[in-house]
Amino acid sequence: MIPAFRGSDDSRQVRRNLESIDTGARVLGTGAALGIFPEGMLHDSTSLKMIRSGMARMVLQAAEDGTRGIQIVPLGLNYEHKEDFRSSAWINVGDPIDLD
Amino acid sequence: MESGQSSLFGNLTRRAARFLVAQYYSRIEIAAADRIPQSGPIVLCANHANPLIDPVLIGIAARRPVQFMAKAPLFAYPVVGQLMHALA
Repeated sequence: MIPAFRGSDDSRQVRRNLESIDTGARVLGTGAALGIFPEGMLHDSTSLKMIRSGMARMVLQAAEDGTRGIQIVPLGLNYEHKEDFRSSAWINVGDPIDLD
Repeated sequence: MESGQSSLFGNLTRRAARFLVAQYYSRIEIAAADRIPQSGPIVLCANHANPLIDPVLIGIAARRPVQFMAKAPLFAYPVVGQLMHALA
């Protein structure tokens, strides 16, 4: 796992995200899959919250470093009743965005 | 990073988490799972409703090891932090 330093947790640590972006770009450089929650917050709303820039910066850095073939895959996670035992969950996979 | 991805403890933890979530939810449906490439660099971007379950669902949908970004304070929690380092 790669730590993300949010201003809402500790504003003094936010600059350390540069290291995390480096690490994420290196992970992509190995051809791995990286999971990220780009809104940077938990919520149950059915509408999108503000997207943070970290994911885009990381992907662009990986591309700058020579990583080719990066695909960004949007996922929608939906729960019937997320706290209820034996309820249902749905995952909708969107069309991948090819960075090349 | 790759060594961590293939560590025995990390693999066992991921398998256990996926098994438990599959028991917890009676039905997990994945629409268009074939859109997730099975090789090459990918970024899986999702909404975030459940801090513990969401990463496991993404792992189930991806059918391949997934590294996650997670908020830094989680790494300092007892047990949870150790698990997260093991999965790193």
